[in-house]
Amino acid sequence: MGVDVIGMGWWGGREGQGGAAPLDPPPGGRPPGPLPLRAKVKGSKGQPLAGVQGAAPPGLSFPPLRPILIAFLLILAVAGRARALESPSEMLANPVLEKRAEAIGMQLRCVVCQNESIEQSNASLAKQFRGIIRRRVLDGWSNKRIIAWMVHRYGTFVLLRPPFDPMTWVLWGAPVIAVAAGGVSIWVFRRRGVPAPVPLSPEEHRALAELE
Amino acid sequence: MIPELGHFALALAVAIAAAQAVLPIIGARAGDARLMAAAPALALGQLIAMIVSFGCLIWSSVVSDFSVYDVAMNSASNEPLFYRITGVWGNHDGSILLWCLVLALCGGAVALFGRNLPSALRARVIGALGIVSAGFLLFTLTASNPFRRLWPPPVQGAAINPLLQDPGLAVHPPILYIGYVGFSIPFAFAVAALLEGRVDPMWGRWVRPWTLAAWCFLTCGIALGSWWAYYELGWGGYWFWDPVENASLLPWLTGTALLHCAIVVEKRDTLKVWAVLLAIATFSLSLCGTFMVRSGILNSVHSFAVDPTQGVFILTLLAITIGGSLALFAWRAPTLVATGVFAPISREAALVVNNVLLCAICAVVFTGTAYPLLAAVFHEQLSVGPPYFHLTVVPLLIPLFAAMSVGPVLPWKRARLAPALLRLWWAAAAAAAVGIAAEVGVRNAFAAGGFAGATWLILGAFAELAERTRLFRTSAAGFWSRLRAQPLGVWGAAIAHAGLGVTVAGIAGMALAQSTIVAVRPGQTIGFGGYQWTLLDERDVPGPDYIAHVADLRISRDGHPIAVVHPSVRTFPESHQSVTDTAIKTNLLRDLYIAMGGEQNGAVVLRLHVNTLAPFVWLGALVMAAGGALSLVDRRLRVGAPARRAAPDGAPA
Amino acid sequence: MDTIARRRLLMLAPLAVAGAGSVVFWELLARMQTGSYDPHLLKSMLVGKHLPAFSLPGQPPSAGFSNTEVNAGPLPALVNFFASWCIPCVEEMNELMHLKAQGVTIWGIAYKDKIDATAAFLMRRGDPYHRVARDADGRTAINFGLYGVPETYLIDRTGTVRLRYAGALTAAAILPELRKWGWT
Repeated sequence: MGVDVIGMGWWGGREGQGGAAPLDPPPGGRPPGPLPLRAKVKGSKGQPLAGVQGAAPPGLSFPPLRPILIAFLLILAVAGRARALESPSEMLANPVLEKRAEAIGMQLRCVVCQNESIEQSNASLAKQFRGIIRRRVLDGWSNKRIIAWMVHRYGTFVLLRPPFDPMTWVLWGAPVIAVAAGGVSIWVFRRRGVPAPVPLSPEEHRALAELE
Repeated sequence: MIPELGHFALALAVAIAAAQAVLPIIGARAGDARLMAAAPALALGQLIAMIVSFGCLIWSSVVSDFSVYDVAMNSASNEPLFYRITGVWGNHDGSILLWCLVLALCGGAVALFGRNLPSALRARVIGALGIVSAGFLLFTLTASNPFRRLWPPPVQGAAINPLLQDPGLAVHPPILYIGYVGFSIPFAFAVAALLEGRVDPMWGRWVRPWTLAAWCFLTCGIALGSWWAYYELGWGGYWFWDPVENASLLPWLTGTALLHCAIVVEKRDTLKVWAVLLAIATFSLSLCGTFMVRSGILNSVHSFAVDPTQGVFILTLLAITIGGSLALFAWRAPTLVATGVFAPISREAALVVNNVLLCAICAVVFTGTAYPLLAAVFHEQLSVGPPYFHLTVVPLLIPLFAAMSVGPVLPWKRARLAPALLRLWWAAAAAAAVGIAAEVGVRNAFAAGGFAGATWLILGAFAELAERTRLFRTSAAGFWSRLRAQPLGVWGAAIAHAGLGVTVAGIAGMALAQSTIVAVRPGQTIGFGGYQWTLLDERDVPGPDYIAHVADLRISRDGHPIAVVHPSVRTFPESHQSVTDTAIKTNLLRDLYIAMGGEQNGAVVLRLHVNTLAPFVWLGALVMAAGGALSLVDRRLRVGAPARRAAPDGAPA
Repeated sequence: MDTIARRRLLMLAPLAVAGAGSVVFWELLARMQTGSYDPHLLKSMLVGKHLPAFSLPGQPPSAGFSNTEVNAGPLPALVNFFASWCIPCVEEMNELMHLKAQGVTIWGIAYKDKIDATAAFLMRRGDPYHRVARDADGRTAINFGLYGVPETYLIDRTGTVRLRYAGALTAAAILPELRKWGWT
């Protein structure tokens, strides 16, 4: 159970896990990589990739004995987000167009993140997509065309609102199916609730006749 | 020495739990009173052993015994005492031990407060809890032992994750776990009922307070997690439809359904099979939520691949617990005789509608969360994000909210809809007025609908009270005497329903929230959202193990200063992590919320939010839990009133 | 009798649902163990299509190249995105050198990298590439649907992309694929 298993990078950790992010070229000479604008540290999930992330804790002279399973706290994995624009210069000057760009970005999944839209992610790839979307909006592309442009390159995987097709009939039908199932069981239950009178057995008929 | 004691106590707990799993159930089957009487003693013994064990782990952490692996990995001697303690459950092994401790607490609670239960039922309930305990304790002892030693011990520990250094977070896991694991008691009651082959109104009465207690904790736990995400993560939102959040929502939904269903079982002696199934489903979803989603089995392929024993062990345990109880259900439930008939318009029918809708929402959230996995089996990749959940859940919420206010004013057994609706006309009118006013005022259909719904829920919640007290139809004195005569349960239900209304109002308000991102230099003033934001200064402040980059920001309105706030970013050089420390200035009707970003050409990047009614989101949850707690108090006083005679000394709390 | 049987069937439904769920779960876990399912991997939209149009400047001393040049060159070939700042790229360098020694044509594209950083990287790790181009702004990479570095694309004899390999490439993994698509 969990969509979060899909869409993590293959580098063994997650975007923004305190170290250099996979698609983030480090700025010159500032080890150990860019500090994210906002903390995106989500606990010690995943396995540290040698040399990149999760450097051995200070004072400990041993290598990690085994991959540490994450603490299973609710919050650790609450990957939440509002808007991730890293600087005001990213936004379009025209508020109407900016709002449109934001609406498009909120529909598209950041491919290197966990369940985040590109509008919410700190990943440099997401940042680039934000820029591209805004440029396309300025160029007068329609929302549909911009989204199609993304899907063409990265597949329907990027759609946070999955398309309605045979693969997702069950998904989109879920509310109807669930309510219908509830309705049917009520109906069945109600019918059962009033048991039909059992026809009398011959013995009972005889007994009844005797009584009369 | 102390860790060994803890380890030994843990092993002892396993042994006691094993006895607890076997003896009482055999006793109940054979009618052996001595074996049945052993149940509470065993449950209490297990509880004591677990308290000792957990206490030892806390002790090891407090004295910074770094020869204990989990202590070395998750605490440091220069941390404040508070975080040395809370660090114990800030990691995988420790939190599983806490989970087991809470389970032992549940067994102990049934042993202590369940004296009025028939001894066979109590033996079976405690036995069922023992089965679950035994499995997970065995797992803890063999595959996830928190007392593992590390030799040679390091000079200093690895410290708790900076993000976890937060009081809200420290209390969150215990509360959430009590909520999750608390549902093991209704589960055990369901298993016991199936073993016994009998569900009657008293069963509903006994299950209800336990369910209610667990539900209150789960409500608080979810709200606390959501609030923590809001103020600590600095993203300004409160719910993200993240799989982990959804996992906590699922048992809450079925638990809420169970809560209402148990009322019907108690009052009308019907829906019994359904109640049993809900009890099993709620705990099963809690288990899945805790272990599948959080244990990292799925999140991290590496951890599973490198250490498959843990994963396989846990999955086997889940399969035994969930599969076993459902198999028992399939085997025994058909023998539970369905009784009771009800009319399509009646309070019980409204509660059935409530159950159907809650379970439908649960099914939808589950489908949305699990669908990508299902697709993966067919070699397809897709994402299910917030837009899906909004589109599918909201249409189900509307009839649910509508029914929530109508249900309580309907009488039991047989009712007519028209008079009931007439009693609610004022709530409906007020809701419509609020909705229209909001739409005219803010031009946001979602917010307007939300405000209308909130009004309907809050007013509707008190409709039953108004009805019972003949509000406006009698003298003030008569009203007051009637008001005071109302049982707490009625108050509790009304308050809980109104609490949801408050949350809905908060959600509607958040739809109007504004945010912007600005780069400001010291001395510069920005106008945004009707406020003036002036950056007074920025400075670096060293902390114990971090350096905080702090901004001093003055917020004023129409020239009158409201507050000076200090958002900051803490950088932990040793772990290369940075944590935002958001600044929130609230007046309960809106939050001024500031998160600090990096620097841009000498200017500080700030994200400013004006979050309308944000506090209502969590306040509502607290009100809901308070309503639940109030009903709980009431039930203790009133227990034993109806039907089958219960022991005189009061219901479980 | 019939109704009881039907009830029994109905009561089995929850167990069946849970069973189906666990089958899905086990299936995925089993596939994860064998490596045939990796939740980290994203399907490539490029597989089965021709390369997107691009024309990139070269990393001196190499000349740049375009999609037409790749298609006109020896096929099947590999197009490899790399960067000097990426750790798995270092790991795969030996493998790439090994492939080069076997005569595999590899076109390198340096992703969002500085000229001298790339040069130093190739100097130290060796240069397995037929030619090295520079995708400084990462736009071409987006047209490929790239979501991380390194990534390697296999182009068959007809110029169709047949495979996208995400992560550090190994000769053992790619050689059978190359042979499958006509490499000798």
